[in-house]
Amino acid sequence: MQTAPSPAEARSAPHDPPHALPGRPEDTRFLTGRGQYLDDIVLPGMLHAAMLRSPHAHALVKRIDYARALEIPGVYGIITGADVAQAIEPEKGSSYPRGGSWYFIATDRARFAGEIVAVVAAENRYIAEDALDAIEVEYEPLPPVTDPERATDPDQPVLHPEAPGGNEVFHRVWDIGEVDAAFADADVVVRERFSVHRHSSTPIEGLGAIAEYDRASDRVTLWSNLANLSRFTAAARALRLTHGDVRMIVPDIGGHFGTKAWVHQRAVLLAVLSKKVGRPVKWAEDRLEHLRASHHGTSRITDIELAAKRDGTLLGFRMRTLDDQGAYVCLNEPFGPFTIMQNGLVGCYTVQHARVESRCVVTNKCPVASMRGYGRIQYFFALERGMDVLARELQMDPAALRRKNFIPAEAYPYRTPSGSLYDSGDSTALLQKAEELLDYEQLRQDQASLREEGRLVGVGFAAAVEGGGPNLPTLAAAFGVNERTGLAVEVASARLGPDGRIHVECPTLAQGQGHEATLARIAADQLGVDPADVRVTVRFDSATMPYTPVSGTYGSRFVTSGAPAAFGATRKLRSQLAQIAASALETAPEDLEFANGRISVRGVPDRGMSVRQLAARAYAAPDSFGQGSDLPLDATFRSNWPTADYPDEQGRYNGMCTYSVLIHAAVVEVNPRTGQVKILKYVGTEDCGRILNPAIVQGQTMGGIVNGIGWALTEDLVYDEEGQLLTGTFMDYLMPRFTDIPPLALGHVECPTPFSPLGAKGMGEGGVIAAPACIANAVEDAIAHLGGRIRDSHLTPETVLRAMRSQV
Amino acid sequence: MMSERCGVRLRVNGQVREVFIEPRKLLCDVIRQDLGLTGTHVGCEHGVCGACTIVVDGEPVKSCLMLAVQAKGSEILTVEGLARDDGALHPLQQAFREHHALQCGYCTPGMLLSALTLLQENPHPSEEEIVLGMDGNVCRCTGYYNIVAAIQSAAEHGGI
Repeated sequence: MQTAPSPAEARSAPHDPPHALPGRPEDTRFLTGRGQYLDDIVLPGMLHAAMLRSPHAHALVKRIDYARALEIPGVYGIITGADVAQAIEPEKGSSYPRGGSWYFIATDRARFAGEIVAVVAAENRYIAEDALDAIEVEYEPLPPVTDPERATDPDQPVLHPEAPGGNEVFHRVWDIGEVDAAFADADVVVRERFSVHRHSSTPIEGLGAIAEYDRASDRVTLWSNLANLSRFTAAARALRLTHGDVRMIVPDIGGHFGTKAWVHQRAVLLAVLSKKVGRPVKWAEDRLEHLRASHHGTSRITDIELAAKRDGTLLGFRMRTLDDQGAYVCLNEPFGPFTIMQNGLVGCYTVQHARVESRCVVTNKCPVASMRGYGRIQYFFALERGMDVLARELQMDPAALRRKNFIPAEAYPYRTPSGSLYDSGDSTALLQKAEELLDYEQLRQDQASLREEGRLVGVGFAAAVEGGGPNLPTLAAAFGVNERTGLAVEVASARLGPDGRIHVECPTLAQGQGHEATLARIAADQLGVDPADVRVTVRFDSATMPYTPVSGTYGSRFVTSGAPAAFGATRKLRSQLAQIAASALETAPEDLEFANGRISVRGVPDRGMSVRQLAARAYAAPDSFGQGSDLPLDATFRSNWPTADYPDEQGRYNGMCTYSVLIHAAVVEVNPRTGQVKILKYVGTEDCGRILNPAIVQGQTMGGIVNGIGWALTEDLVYDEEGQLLTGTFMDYLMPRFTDIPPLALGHVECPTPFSPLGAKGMGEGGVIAAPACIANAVEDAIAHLGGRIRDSHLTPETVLRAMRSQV
Repeated sequence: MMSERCGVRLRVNGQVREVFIEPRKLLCDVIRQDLGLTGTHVGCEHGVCGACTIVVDGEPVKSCLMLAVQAKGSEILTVEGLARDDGALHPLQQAFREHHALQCGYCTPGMLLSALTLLQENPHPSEEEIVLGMDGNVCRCTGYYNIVAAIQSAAEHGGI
């Protein structure tokens, strides 16, 4: 942990005025149908894959016979678990040997309905699917484990008998401060149990991959829509290769939201298949596969207790969490519990004492991993619902209770008891803004009069913190490195082309966040050129682009990774170009300014040259500058976040680079007869530091909030007792549509992070992190006077009606 | 199972095309694979998400729900046919760009073509009519607000 700058420094970080969006460079290809998504790629001789999947949630795979399938004209080859087990290293989770390992395909046992059992390569997808029907599999069904609360009971089958620990794959207690003493000190203690449902951020483009195995060199080229290059390492490792033997290419990505985090596993299976058939093989996931078997966002049951003084001062809290991991744990999973510590543990509050006891179990369901709001949705649902329960017990206004406990603006940068360094923030100002946008006082009066008319209107708040840019220090160990340092790195390069255009490359693997627009603007600002003269590449090719082991965009990291790396690269290029120009202009480099496409002596605009002139001369007459022929026209910059540190013995560390405070509020009306929830108004306020691009921030905030509304009201991955998914199509898994969006008001307070020259903080997930708790609080507020209590996160009419009738 | 291929003649974005395909082949697959027009995207293959929306004889069609042989002799418009021949964006494309009505771009072609047929039928729709008219298309990035604004703006400028 390092010394933090003073609050005064924090508020005076370098800061240019925000600028409007002139349309993004990437828009043109997307609007004209000329984007290149994974399924648009066609290679010579390419075959198409289809995957046979287990119909059973839990079964032994006794025999697979695919001879008949191979007789179908156009079928080139088939692999099963037996082929894969010979060819690759299985993947393990972070709690290994607990939870066992996975070959990404059933070898002797299928552990969830939808698990891959065989993969066919054929001339086209139609024939490949014909072949699936001709494969005979003999299963011996086993009883499935579907209830996480019963998963460790002695009568339950064990999913991974070879692994220690049975179905419990994770159990850990984080004890921060003196929580028992805090509870002994309390005037009031409230307890509640909250259940958060399984969900998927399900982008409109599914997972996809192409593998081309080259026998001559024993090398593999993989195309996939992954967003995190640590999966490039994982794919190479599974194939018993290193980075140099695998070429990874990432095209345009049609939405991600964490949902494609395990696409590398499918790419690895395709590589095995490609080797067998001697041709490149493509697989584009269909929607049924995606909902059933890509991966899910975890469900969680939380028992929470909060201890407070009568005046509302929160003294401490205890949480016991139970996460349903599904059938396999891979890579950083089980990870949900860790996101609590990583994100700072205490939300927006000054509370110092907490105990989090987390358990994770495996069940015969689709595995879980990252989803937009990873772990934070579940955590803040419990904490922020808990705050409302406390407010009711104390007979305090829920906004006032939150305000009472906020970390004051002048306390930033603020070290939380779990080691997070909250860089900047002003929760009080955000809450005030939210109350203004709501017209809160008036609203409470209206609520009372409407209630007299029998209308159930409720108001809810949620205060949350969105960590941006994960610090991943323990990943270094995967590279055989024992240095105990933070890991939040990124790389970018900037180059002056012969025509004077600036080329910026950065492996952000963008998924719609407009990185080409934002990086062009950053480069243009630094080099004094028109953004239209900057060419940005964020699509990835490991053969041609620099990268780091953690490159990409996930965990709201872009402004902590790609943006500062590109900023650094363009600053570096600027100083190199200044060196070159200085000799031509017979001045010192520090006396030059870059503006309007020209480099000129400060205060003497006529004494200068255009960037184009400089470029032309540097390429065509390099020696004319008197600095030799090797002019530095390219710059590569590797960034690391200055406050990224390493966990101490108690596991305390600064888990994220930036921390954006969110204060959301919702006004809902509940239909007293049907239980239907209607959102009358939604207010989202956030401090994401300096706003680099207002339109992009607004767009992501709106999208995230609507995502969260769907999660709260209509989206649910429901399993039956046999482990079969009941909501496996878009007819049952109901995402919000045009007709579902409520009136929305957004507000911002800008507290720039002091730890980056850009001042921006991560913000892509905020909407979905705060919305579910916020809406549930509003619904409970609408029905609380009838005795209704909300304990389930999925607010279907049925849940709400039951809550109204439970009369607790 | 595989069966005899048959010839299907279509007019796509103003040009005559003929493909020889299996009768079971979906229209979206023919457009993407046989005609190489990959701007039409497939999102769900069961007619809910609207990403594959194209215009067939003036009507918006989810091309994952139609066999290519059913479209024999039809006039088809895909997103590739929307911009003018000189490359200038269609007013709807321009409005989407100006209002930041797209993020990842995957649902965008379907959105544009649904919006086009909506405005052809009703050149001055109310906000409610836009919301109802566009309800067959799902976007996971934008939350829809900017798409509604873009369609309103295109309608106001009357450039359809």
